[in-house]
Amino acid sequence: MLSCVAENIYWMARYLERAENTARLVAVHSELRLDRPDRAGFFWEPVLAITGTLEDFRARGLQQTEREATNFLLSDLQNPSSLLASSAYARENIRTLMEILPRESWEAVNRLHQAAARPGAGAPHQRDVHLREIIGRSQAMAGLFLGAMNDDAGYALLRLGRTVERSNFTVQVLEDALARIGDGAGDMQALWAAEWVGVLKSLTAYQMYRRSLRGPVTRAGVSRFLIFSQVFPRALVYCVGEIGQALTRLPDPGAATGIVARLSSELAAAEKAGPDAARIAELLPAVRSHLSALHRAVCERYFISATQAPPSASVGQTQAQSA
Amino acid sequence: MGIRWNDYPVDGVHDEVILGQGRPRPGAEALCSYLASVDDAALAERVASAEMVIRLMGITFRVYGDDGGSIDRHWPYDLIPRILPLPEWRRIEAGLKQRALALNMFIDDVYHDQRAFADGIVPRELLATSKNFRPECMGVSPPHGVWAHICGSDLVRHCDGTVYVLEDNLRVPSGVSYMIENRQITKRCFPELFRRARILPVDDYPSQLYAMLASLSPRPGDLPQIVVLTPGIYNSAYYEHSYLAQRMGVELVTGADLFVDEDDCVQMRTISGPRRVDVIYRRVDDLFLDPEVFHPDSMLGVPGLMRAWRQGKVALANAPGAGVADDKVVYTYAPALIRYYLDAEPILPNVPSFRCVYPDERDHVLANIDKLVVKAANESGGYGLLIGPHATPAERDAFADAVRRDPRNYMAQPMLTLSTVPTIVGNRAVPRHVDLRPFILSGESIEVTAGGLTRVALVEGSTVVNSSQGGGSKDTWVVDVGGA
Repeated sequence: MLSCVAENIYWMARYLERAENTARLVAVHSELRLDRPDRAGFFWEPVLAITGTLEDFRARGLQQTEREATNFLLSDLQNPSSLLASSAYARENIRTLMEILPRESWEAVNRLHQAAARPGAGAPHQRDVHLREIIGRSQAMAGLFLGAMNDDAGYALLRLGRTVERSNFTVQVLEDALARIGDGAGDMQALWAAEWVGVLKSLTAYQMYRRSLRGPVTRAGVSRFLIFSQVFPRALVYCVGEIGQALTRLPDPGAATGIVARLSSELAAAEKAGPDAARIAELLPAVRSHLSALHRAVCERYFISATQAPPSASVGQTQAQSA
Repeated sequence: MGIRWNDYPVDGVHDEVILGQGRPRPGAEALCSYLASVDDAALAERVASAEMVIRLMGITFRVYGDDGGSIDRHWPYDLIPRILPLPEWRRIEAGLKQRALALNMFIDDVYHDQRAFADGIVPRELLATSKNFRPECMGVSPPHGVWAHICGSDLVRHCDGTVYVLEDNLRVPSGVSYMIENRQITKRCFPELFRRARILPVDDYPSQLYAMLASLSPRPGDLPQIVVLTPGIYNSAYYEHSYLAQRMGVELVTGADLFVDEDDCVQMRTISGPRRVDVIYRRVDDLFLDPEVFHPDSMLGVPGLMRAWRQGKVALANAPGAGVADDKVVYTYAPALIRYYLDAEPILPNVPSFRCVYPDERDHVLANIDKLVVKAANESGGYGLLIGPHATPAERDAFADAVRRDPRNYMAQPMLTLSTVPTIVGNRAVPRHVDLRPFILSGESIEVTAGGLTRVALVEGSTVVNSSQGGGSKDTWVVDVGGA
């Protein structure tokens, strides 16, 4: 497989995953806003922080209104992480992969992009239907790849890109939640519980959380589930396993294998140590930096742009920045 | 109530489908009776479904705007096909093979002994000022002596019924994927029609292309590693590059995917390390192929590629320098070249042409510039062209000045009346001018597509068929009329 094809598949998977994550995050917060009209500060700030775009939003001098924030998150092409930009990048990648990917994926990404670009679709009264459509179309594409693509190096890179993006998103969501949302009994209990449910929903984890851990949604329960679950696909332990498996289908992964091994053992040690809030707070940044290192190792080992000009990589970057 | 062929005008032109008074030409009977039988609503439905198919199949081409940007457009397709009866097509096909053979012999001669110049068939000064002559190619002997492996020759039919060769595209001719896709669309939208007529299939082209490219491999015996080299997604023909790679089952690469190793072999970068490449179907212009030899700042090419090619370690199709015969002035010598190399009379005539390099012909052109079509030697896509009868006096003066300054670079032809094909506008069929671009593959043997890409000028009266300037396209049917 050509290095440039490998790179484009990896990024296509990241962009599709990012589009779906952004859509779900905005949908969840749009609903949450109805439960927390009184929340102090700028309501959309956490969403901007999680998507890594808060600094950019501020630097552009945009107004702290729902309208400006959702527009920035959903349809602003100047924001490289916006839903529209992510689906446009995914589409440009698939355009170069037409002879590799199932032909239907080109039609499917055209539909996804057309939906993301529909004017006015992010308006409050249409937003929910719109974002559900986006999420559904992204999931349909994942299903198409699963059912119609050879399970070879190309599919391994797709899994890798998707899971690196996905696990990084889980880390961001959880870090934000742990820093922001309280816990325990008191006046705020019901409101905090609603926020923790929102965290789970942002990761499409609410129903599976219920199936795994019966009882109330608590800070400790949510962090344990999202970090240590071996069965939930967006939990960090599961993701690291998925990354490890994908690497075994690639020729001589080199440094990446070692990084995955370190990640696994650190997560296992943390789980053994039990529910310790301080330890969890240290764990998440460590996971994030390992994911960054993993991303760099994959780029350097398999992609062309890395061999020509080493990128200053962070996991949240875009392909345009890395090329 | 259907299309009323009795109202269809054919005054003073040759129509490819209708003979006159609503009577169809041989081979078009089934098509015409079918189109007369479907009502307006059914016809509109077919037009809409064709557009839908094009969108879903994502058939696009890129148009460069005046602002330097570019946009992707859906492929313009008209659903009434152009008809060519098989006996006539066989003659055209023979003419195209003859022409491709002679042009390849000429290119090989240019880069070796230059006999045609020594024998006075073509004036030597043509070479000195040719924009597409590459001195770097002197002495190179590509496999089978073939340089222009893929040739797209544009044919037009005048009102007298004669089919002329208008030009030969020997550099990176495009359009063949649209020829195949047009057939796919017609089949999806009018399955009934294919039951009523025997139409030669066109979908074999990717296999023929693959076989031709494989015949160029420097490592015969092994399964050759073939790639399609594209300038990238912003090229107007990217869709076609991707399509052909997909249909041949070969890699689509850009310059960044390839490098030339210390043994002067071309390698592609894969996730399992370098892999040797044997044949490159390149869709990048000569001057961007190798920054070590041509434009030093080209990002599209591969440093060292010319070195590898000159040593025969990789095959390039088309070969660099093949464009020396893709020159509107060299074109005028094609009939003479056929007589010279093949000792045969040309089967397909050239459009009569005046060469401004000769003073008497130049004076004729300058005196009659309002009646002629004047062309620059090395422009394509409808650019660098003056259509005298339609131009303003200022445009004519500007072109006349250009001709006087650089006569070698210009030739002129009488204005032809291009033939027409019925084209759907609203719910009616109206005549629109067309040309035809068949593709000729030359390797070990010479093959011609069954028909070719019919391009149509969608604007009433216009003869500009280029898709970049508002042209459309049609399916082309070579119909086996059963010896009739």
